[in-house]
Amino acid sequence: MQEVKKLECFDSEDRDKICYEMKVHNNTVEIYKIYSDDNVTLLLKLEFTSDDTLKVSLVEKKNNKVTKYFGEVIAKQLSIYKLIEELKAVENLQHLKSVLNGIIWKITWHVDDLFKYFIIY
Amino acid sequence: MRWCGIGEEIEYTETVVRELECIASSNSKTCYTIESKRDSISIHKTFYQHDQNSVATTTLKITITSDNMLNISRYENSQLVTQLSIDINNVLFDDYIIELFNAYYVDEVKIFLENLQRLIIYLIRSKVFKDF
Repeated sequence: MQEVKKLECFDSEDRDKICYEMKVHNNTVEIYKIYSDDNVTLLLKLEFTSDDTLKVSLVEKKNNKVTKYFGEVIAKQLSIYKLIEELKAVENLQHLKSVLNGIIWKITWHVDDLFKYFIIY
Repeated sequence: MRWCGIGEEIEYTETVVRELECIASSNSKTCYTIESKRDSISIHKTFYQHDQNSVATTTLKITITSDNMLNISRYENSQLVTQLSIDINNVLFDDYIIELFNAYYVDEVKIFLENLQRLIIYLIRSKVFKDF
């Protein structure tokens, strides 16, 4: 079941208006940053799977077509269930930013885990 | 596969194992080995504890897939413990990996891994979550 949440709109300095929306599926959260003046949308997609894997990708879309691909990261054994549930429950932009920051930090720690204590003297 | 023939002088078509130095203390020693294959490069760390007669291995395996994903897996005693894949499109990754291919000292591997870690964190912050 898909749920669309309209989070917040605001006027930006260099563009007319920016709106944030979220679509929550079972294991996927899509976050849209919509620039109303030129119909450009940034889509941040977070997919979680039952084997504790998180896949994050960012693309730019215009008129429903992907116009730019920024990147993708897949992290396994991430232990991120709490943050996923928090992300699904987000109701406003400030909360969204806070949860996304938490996820970025979690992935950063995951990178640290990957390399930690490998070279020791 | 991608790094077959990387640079002008290196061509790895078979498995090549290079033993680096061991670092010893009074009752233990840690040895490092680089294993290059056609499609991956692994760094093995083997820790020997003499008084307990035990051996522990940790491996970092680095692979680049055909769709430009850099895959890093960490194994502890052959068990996969953590894994990360990141898109490295538009990154001159050859410049990074060549340092590991050419490494003969643990210090060089250490510098390579520190640079790789910084690169991954940069990609996560500035590409995957860019401007969001």
